[in-house]
Amino acid sequence: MDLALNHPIDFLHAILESPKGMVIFALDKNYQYSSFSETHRSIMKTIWGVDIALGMNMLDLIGNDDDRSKAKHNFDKALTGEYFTVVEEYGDVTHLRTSYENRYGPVTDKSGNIIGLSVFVIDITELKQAEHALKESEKRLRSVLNVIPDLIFKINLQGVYTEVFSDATTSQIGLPQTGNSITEGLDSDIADRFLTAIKYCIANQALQTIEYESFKNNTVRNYEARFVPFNNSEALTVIRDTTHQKKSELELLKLSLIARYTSNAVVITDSDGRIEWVNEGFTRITEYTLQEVIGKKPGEFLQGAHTNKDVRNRMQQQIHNKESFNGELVNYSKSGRQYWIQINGQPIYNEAGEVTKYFAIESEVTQRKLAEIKLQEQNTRLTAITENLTRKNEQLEEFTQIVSHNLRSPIGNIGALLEHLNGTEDEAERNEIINHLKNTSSLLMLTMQELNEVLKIKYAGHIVKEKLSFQTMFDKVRQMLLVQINQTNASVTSNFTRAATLVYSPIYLESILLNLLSNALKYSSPKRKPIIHFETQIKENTAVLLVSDNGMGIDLNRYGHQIFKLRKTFHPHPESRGVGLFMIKNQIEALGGTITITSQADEGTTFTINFGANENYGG
Amino acid sequence: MEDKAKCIAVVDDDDTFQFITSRAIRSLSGENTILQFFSGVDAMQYLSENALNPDMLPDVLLLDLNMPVLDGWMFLEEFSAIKKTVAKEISIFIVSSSIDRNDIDRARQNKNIIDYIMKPVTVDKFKELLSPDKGLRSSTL
Repeated sequence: MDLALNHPIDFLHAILESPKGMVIFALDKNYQYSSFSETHRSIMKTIWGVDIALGMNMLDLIGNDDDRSKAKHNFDKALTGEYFTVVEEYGDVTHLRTSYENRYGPVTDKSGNIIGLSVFVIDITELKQAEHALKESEKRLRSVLNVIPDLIFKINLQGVYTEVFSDATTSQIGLPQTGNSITEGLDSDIADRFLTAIKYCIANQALQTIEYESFKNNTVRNYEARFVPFNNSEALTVIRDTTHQKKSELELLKLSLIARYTSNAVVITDSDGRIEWVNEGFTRITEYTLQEVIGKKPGEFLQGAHTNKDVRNRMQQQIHNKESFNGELVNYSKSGRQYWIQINGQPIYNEAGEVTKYFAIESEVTQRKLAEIKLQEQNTRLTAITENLTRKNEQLEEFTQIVSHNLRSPIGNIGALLEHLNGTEDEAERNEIINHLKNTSSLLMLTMQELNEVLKIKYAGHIVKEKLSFQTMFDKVRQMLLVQINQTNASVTSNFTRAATLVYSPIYLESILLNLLSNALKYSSPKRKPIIHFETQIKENTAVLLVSDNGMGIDLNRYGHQIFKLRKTFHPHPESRGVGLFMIKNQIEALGGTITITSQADEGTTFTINFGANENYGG
Repeated sequence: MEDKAKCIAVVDDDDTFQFITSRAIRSLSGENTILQFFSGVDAMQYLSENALNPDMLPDVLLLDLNMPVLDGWMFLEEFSAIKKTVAKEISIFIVSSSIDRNDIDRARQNKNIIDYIMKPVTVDKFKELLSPDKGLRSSTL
């Protein structure tokens, strides 16, 4: 501070002695202190741990060789008469290192001879640190800007770049350089639009956006320029390449054009499956307008009771897996119309590979589906008819046998008997023949009656059903067979607690119980006391009757195939007519049930009657 | 025609048929013997008991198909099991009212059966059956 030395001495002295004043000291040509401020004295104490005094050689006081030689160099330079400023760091290398701005200058006597030097020191440590932080911060900002694909610069009202921050898309817009004009890199019409926007942005201090196309290297690219007011003469500008975005927008536009005019329903949803757009075809089929469905999920209001859950779940899984999805299911229109819809959909991805939308085309296939269902039903019906026919055919065959044997046989006998009647005059013989004729005719009549009963079962159109109690029915049948039970001394027990009631034909149930009980009594074993047990159970939601006895039993390997046939008897019993089992089998089957037998010869027999899944039972 | 006396077994549970058949056979010339069995079981028992005694065995056996307990087919099964021990060649005819094709075919395939005769059987038919050169297939079917 050369000027300070020309000021009055007391002023100088005040500066030197002020405890928190400036750091200032002066040395003579031998580097010995000629004056120093109090602050310098305390700093020397702090840094080098020395108490300085006038006349001390300062170089001797600096405890670091490098610092000492640096200081000597500067002192000598000042002693040559030069004024200069040096930013230096002094202090212990490991700590207390401090930045100083040292202003050196020579001290001259009145005649201009250099007699020493003065040093005025400003501590700029904080300044240095702030500067460093700023540099770091700017570096960080730069690196961020470099990553941004946008072009960012400042531009003034004249269209001149005042600062370029990021030049990522430079190649597409020319080379913006500070001081250049935008007219150099842009077509003139676009440059005009830029200038208009910049002016408006600065004048109104408002954000401006323009979109433009640039044709370079045979390709059209889309850009968006945003202008943000920076100050009264400059605007911050961000230019973004929007080519891909435009392209997908255009694709979507094209799709929506197709969608708008197709007769099918088209649904576009967001990535959550919420409707963003539907076409007129959708409204035509579902009766819902776009306004009514926007933001809703299609499944929430289109599906209902008859919507196939398997198909729906499969499609939801496909959507969840971000796959294309398809299926056919029942939907419901706003007015409740039920229709079949075929859905073909796919996810729409953005550039980052994320699903942003779903696009689905839906066509109504009600007519085809109904035809399919009808066909299936017809097929099922046909199968049922075929099965029925097969059964009828079997029954017919059975009938043929019945007719051939049970009718042909007595009729043949009658013919032969009449032949013999004509061939004899003997009264006794004639009487015998007539007796045979009578027996044969009553047998024929009985057979006719039985066949009639069977026919009634087989061709009964409507069988009256009632809720019946097994116990009541069984007690009645027991009463009817009381004589036989007493004759055979049989133990007849029952347990109908597991299925107490049944909705069934009362005539058939009575016939079933009666035939099974009388059979069990008829074919009881003479070797032991007959034990007969009736019991109901429920198996797979069906009432089942079990009738077991310890009677003669039957060799099923031998007679199994004939057990339920008409006129098949397996024991030489005088009352065996071979009608009962044939009859009840027909009754049970006519109502959709089954009857099966298990038996061991000379051990006993169990009949199992399954009344059919369609019959109601009660506990 | 000169008939040698024959022994004829009738196996049928229908007593009217037995009556008619007996009368028809008796009306024919020759001292024919008639064995009546009202069940397959009875017939089987008789044949087993008299298997070694040719004088007691029938020359001809008329077999009904539809009988309780042991029907015609079961009788044939059991008979083929003892056939080798039976001391006489017995000509077996099925006599049935069944017009079931299955029964007729089954009878034709059984080598133990001479013929299948459908009921009713006329007196002339019996004559033909018992003629000495019989034992061959007739044109009944």
